[in-house]
Amino acid sequence: MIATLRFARPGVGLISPPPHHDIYSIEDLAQLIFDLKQVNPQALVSVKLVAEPGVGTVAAGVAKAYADLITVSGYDGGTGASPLSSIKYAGTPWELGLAETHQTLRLNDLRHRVRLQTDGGLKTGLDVVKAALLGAESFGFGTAPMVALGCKYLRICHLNNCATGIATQHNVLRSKYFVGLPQMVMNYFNFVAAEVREILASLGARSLAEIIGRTELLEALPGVTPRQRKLDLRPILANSALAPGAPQFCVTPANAPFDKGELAERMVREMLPAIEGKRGGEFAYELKNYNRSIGARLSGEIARRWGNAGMADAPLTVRCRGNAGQSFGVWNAGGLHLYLEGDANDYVGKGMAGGRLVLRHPRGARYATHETVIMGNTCLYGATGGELFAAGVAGERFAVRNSGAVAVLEGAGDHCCEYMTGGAVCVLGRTGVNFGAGFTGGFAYVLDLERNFVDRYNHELIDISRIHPEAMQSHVQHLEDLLERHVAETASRWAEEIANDLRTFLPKFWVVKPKAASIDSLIENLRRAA
Amino acid sequence: MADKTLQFLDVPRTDPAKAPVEARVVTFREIYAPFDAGGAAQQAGRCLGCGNPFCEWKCPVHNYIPNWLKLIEEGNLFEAAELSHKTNSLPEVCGRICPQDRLCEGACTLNDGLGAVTIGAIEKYITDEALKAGWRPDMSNVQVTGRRVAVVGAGPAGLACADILARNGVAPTVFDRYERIGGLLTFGIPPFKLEKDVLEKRREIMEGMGVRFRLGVEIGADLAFDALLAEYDAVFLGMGTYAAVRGGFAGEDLPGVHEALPYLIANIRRELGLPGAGAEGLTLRGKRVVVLGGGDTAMDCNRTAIRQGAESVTCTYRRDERNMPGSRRDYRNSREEGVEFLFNRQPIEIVGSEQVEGVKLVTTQLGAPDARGRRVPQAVPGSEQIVPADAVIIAFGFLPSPARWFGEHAIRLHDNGRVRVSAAAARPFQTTNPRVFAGGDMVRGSDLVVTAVFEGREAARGILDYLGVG
Repeated sequence: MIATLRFARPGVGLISPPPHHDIYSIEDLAQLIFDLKQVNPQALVSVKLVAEPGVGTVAAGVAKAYADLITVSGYDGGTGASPLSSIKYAGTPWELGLAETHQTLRLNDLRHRVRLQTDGGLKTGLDVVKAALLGAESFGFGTAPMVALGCKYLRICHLNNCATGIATQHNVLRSKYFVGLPQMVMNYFNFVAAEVREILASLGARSLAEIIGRTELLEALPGVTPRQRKLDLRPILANSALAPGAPQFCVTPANAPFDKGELAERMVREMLPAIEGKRGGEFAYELKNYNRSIGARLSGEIARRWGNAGMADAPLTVRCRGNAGQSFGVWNAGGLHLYLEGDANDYVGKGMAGGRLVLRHPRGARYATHETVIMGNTCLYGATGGELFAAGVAGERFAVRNSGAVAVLEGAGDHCCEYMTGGAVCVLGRTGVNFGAGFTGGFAYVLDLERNFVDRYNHELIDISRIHPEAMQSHVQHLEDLLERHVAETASRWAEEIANDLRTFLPKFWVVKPKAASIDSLIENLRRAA
Repeated sequence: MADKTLQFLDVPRTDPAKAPVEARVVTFREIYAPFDAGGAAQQAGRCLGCGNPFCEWKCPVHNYIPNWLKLIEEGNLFEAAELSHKTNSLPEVCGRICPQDRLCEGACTLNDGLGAVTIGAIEKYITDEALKAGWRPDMSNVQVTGRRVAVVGAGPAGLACADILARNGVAPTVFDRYERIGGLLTFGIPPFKLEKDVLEKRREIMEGMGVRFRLGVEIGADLAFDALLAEYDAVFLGMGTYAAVRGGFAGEDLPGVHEALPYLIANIRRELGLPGAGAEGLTLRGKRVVVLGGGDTAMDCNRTAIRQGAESVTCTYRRDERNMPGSRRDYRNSREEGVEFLFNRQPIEIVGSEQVEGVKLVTTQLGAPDARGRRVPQAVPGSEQIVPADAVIIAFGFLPSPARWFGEHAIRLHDNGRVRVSAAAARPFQTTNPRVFAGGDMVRGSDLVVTAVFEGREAARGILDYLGVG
């Protein structure tokens, strides 16, 4: 079950915690939020931040990136799977982060646009009231309701042997030793709510909204120890110099982005009958580089009606020309085939679930496709299915955390196939360094004409081998198929040259696979996953 | 083991082998066999290593239980012994006689139907086997301070206090009125729960650590308390509670009615071949015995009488089975060995003219809870019965028995006779006489061995602070 949800197979290692190679800057985050709002315009997007000095500035950036909710997470509490050192020695109290965030958002006239949540060891109604006074309007509980359900905080959640039957897939433990009932959690929250009401009444407030941000209702205690007496709590309680009328909580239903995605809306209007009728069809559009997340709106509409792969039998073919903006084909759903003649920016096919993306050089271009960049960084990041053919070179971090997509391209930058856990990638040209770091599943073919791939791949978890035509007939055939389809989809002259002279090129290919996997099982696994 | 993480499911809780009833009721030997190394490691491996070790919190001395279980699982016996002694001065004793089912094993996460880890048996295994293999406490880093402390009472509190003092370079001299160390560990607890060579071994180890014992010396009779104050930098009192609670009904003074403690002591003295086993020898062979009370002492009396060859042993308790205060393990063993229990019975009279002939009991039912939350038994009118008996043992518990000389030395008491001590974090267990510290039953009222050990150790911490060392 867990393996299915994570698009992995039992036995394939997953690197935890997974690094977010798609979010290196606040602009990346803004793009991710836009992608999410495109695929599901009704959704509210929440960003969780760690309470630490400077979190207010980050939160202001996140609010400007059009997040709808911001969670400021403190260092108390914590997951039962994390090491004791992380629980004890990382982070700061939510009180500090929340106060800073609330003040910064108000100072920058952003507070009314986002809901502010806090979590990290909240247990009682008093915690809720204090958090509200420091500026939160939403409150996250993790550990306490778990304990209400029977969790004993054994801190072995990652071992599948939870003796209280909570964090385990073990049938006996789940059926015989799990004592939790929904009513226990309800009961717990009823008590929390009752305490909140009592405290509100004692403060003379009718609702929680009346006390959000009212730090003047908090009184600093002198402290017991000499160290505590030295604490200056005024910055936490400071009410920013803004007019008292500045909103203390969110008053807008959602934090709508400035970019209305007008082309995407037009595409939906024009294709919606075809989607609703599950009819498929062919459409054509011109793209400019400010048209971001093209395809996501369509994928969302398809998935809402027919599921992730719902239109695979009656595909929509969309032929685009020009320069696609960021996130072309992001979250692509089954049955959506996007063709682009031109080039694309970052995040092509990010989080792709199915369907097909084809990127090809403009007709009449005379440059060598395997020496020319056709898409930006972090393409196919976290893809779980579908296929991508690109007659050109990708930027850095291609197919990072790919767990099911099949891709053919003609060159890649650094960190290609990092943390990959499934699918297949075929690179018909040069790759950058650190190929396949943390690669635990799936496989890749790499054409190594310069004979230096050995120096460019990360040796920790993968090994490489040559394709022996007699012993590895299935790999030869698989590679031939991929080349043939690539040529058919992209009209790549370079791929055609390879396909036509495979006897010369074949000895220059490497098969890349996790050390733990057997070379004979690779294609079978790929077929089974599909 | 297929999957280490599921060992607690795959391997059931297995207590060490227990001698069959027929074999054990004819001797005073301990009834549990020791673990072997494989068995101990396998049982230790059942520990989940909970993030919040409930066993460790519940344990009055906060033993590092999951940690030494892990060491035993890995076969590191000496490291486990060293760690076990970091928190407990008498682990081999506690491993035998603690009511683990109410403490560590009761709190064990696996005690919810999965079978608690056999913590007590492993604790005993660690020290027994380590000592056998030649392990001794590491005293190589001890700096001798030249300070000397007198410890009055060689029971668990006194021994624990002496242990900590010795480990901090303070020379303790332990006085006891009996000729062996241990206090009630030696003279109160029957050998079938705690064999007496365990205490002899402990004496040898403590003497090796620099603890001096002056036994057979009763302070206030053989030696004046003033002499201790004159000769030592501080004094620790761990003198226990010896006054028996009386029933307050007619016939208590009839011949054939015994108090629990003198009965147990006499039996042990005879077993050990020590003089003073009591004039009449006090053996209950062939007699019909009734034991009054439902605590650990009553169980000890029951099982001692069985081993002495009593014709029958009947134990009466005024509440029901569920409300019994003592160890469930001792209760189960008593039943196995042939003790008959009468619950919800309160004695109202011991009948007999020259000698005990029976006990008049009234049936009770449980009423509303009292201030301590325990339900008060109430007599059911007209339910009297007489159980015939040749001997009656009264085991109603113990009250403080403060020495007469406490007053002269400004050692003040609570109203109920318990010694007043300080609760200050830095200098706990200091009495109202600053040079005198006290701990164990005489401070808290009669309680478990392990709580006495804890208080003795804490008092030693207070003494070290008072002496300005450590």
